[in-house]
Amino acid sequence: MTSIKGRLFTILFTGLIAIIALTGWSVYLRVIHELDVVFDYQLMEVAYSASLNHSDLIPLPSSETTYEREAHLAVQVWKGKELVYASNPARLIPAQRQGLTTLYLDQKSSDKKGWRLFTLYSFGKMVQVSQPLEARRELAIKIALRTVKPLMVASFFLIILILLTINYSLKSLKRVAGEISNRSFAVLEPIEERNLPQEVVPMVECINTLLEHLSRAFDQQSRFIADAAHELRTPLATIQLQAHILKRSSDEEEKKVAHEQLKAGIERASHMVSQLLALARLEPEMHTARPETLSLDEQAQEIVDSYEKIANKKGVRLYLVENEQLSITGEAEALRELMSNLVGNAINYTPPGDIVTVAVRRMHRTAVFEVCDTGPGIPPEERERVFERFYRMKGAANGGSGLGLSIVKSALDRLGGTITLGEGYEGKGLKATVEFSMRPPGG
Amino acid sequence: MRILLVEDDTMFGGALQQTLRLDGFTVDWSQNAEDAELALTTNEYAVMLLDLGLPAKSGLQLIQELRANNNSLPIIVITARDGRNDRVNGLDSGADDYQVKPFDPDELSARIRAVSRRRIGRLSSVIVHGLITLSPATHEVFYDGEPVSLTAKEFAVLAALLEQPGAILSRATLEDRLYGWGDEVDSNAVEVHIHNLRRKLSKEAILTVRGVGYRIGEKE
Repeated sequence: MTSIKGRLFTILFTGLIAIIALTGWSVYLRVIHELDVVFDYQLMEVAYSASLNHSDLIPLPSSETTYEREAHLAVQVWKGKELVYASNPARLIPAQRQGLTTLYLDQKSSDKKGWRLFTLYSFGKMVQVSQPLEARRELAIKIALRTVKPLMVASFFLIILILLTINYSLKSLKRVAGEISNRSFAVLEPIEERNLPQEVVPMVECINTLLEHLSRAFDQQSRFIADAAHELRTPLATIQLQAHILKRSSDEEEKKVAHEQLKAGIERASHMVSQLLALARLEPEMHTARPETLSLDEQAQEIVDSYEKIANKKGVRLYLVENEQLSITGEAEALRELMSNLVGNAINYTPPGDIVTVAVRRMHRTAVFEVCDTGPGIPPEERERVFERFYRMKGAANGGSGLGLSIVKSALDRLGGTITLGEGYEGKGLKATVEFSMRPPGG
Repeated sequence: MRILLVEDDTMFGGALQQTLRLDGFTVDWSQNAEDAELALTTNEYAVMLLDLGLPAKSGLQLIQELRANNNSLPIIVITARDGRNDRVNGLDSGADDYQVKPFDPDELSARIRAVSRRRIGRLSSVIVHGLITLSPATHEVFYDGEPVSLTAKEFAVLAALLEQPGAILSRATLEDRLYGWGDEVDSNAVEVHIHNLRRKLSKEAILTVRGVGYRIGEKE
């Protein structure tokens, strides 16, 4: 896992160190080079002053001066073959030609015992100022290091500054992370968007949108589970009572009636359970089946065939009045649930002797599936609410799950169609019109 | 004992009415709050069983209105909602007891007997009057220690008379307690039950007050 803090710090730190080191090194080399020139100049200066004032001003320069000791300068003054003056008698250097020279006394150990000297012939005297190369280097390094030192101190403070800046800038990220880690199923409130850096806002907004979706889905789920449990209680209580009646009924006739009632009670409970399962399968989160080409006419025929027996038993006449060959794209189960709930509802609410018609037809560029009944219909003000889960109309016939039209709606969301509820034949009953956008021909 | 059942679910209501009848209760059944209000003005009930999730006016509203009108009818709430708040709201708005679906039918019958007993201020579940002992819970009657076999209606007549010893109940009152809506009532049905009770217990067990009605006999 990469951390922004770690990465920022590594890059800035190594970069800074590299830059400081390079700068320091080049300053160091530069200083050493410059000092070489300065030291030579110094040799010359000393030689000139010695040549001018040797007898009166000697000793010159004083062996006490710190500088001289540090710089290890030695001055010799010769007059012909006679050594007139030597600041350091232990260091006698043979005469050289005029000017700056580098002399190695011991050829083997090269520069260890080397000297830099300046020889000046003037007024019959020869002045030689010498400086050991080693002392020159030591001095040069000392001075160069002293020059680079502030750079080191500065870089130390820079690193601290970088660390503080990174920490401070990442504080809001840390806060957001903390808030996110505090979220759970129970706490799905949005994250505070105030006082956030511009760069973090889009991320927090995305997370808040996600949280909102999650929270809504979670609420819906828990409400649905509570409602489902509640809706199952009545059918179960009914079964319990019916079983009790069956147990207590004495003669055969009573037993038979009680048995029939118990059977009806169990049928109602299992219908409720299968409707709940159908609804759960059509939940938006459940993407199981792949969309395929569905034939509306074949599916309508299949549904009408399967409901024929139920309709006959109730005395309702069920007709497939129109069945054009049309196809749509979607999930087969969604279409089956949609059709079977609409047709089942229509049969349920239609009084015996009346008619339910089913039609599949093309209308402009849409495929239409239409179910028409002659039942009590749905008043216009209730046509929105009937799609809510467990919503039952006032005075509606009992025994339904209250889920049929919710299933239809969920199925439509999956298939991508629309439903319109209107009045049936001659203003009586209900007409449910489902419209699908058609598959492009040949596609 | 005559009970008013208020429940909108046809299948459940039917099954509950039948179950309670098997336990010897007389049950009138309304499917909404408005019908229940009408029934309460025309009949006298020992207990009301009320579903909270009614269409239009809710059960809670009905309880509150009854209590606001000083109606002290014992109410047992029957509902599918078992949340703590639902129970607390139901009881706080004036219900006497609470039964969550699904439930054991025997338990509901026991609760009905308990709230009606509390209403008339009786402590024991068994009624003892002289030689007669009547147990509403088990539907058993003993006379001088011997079990007596009674039909459901005979039992109901005896229970009604025993509940208020000394009170005179008219034939109409007894008919009212015995028969719910839609029950066929023979003109001399109550006389027949009284006759049978006297035969099975003793001649002096039930006294006829001429022109008024019946009352339970003196303690023997």
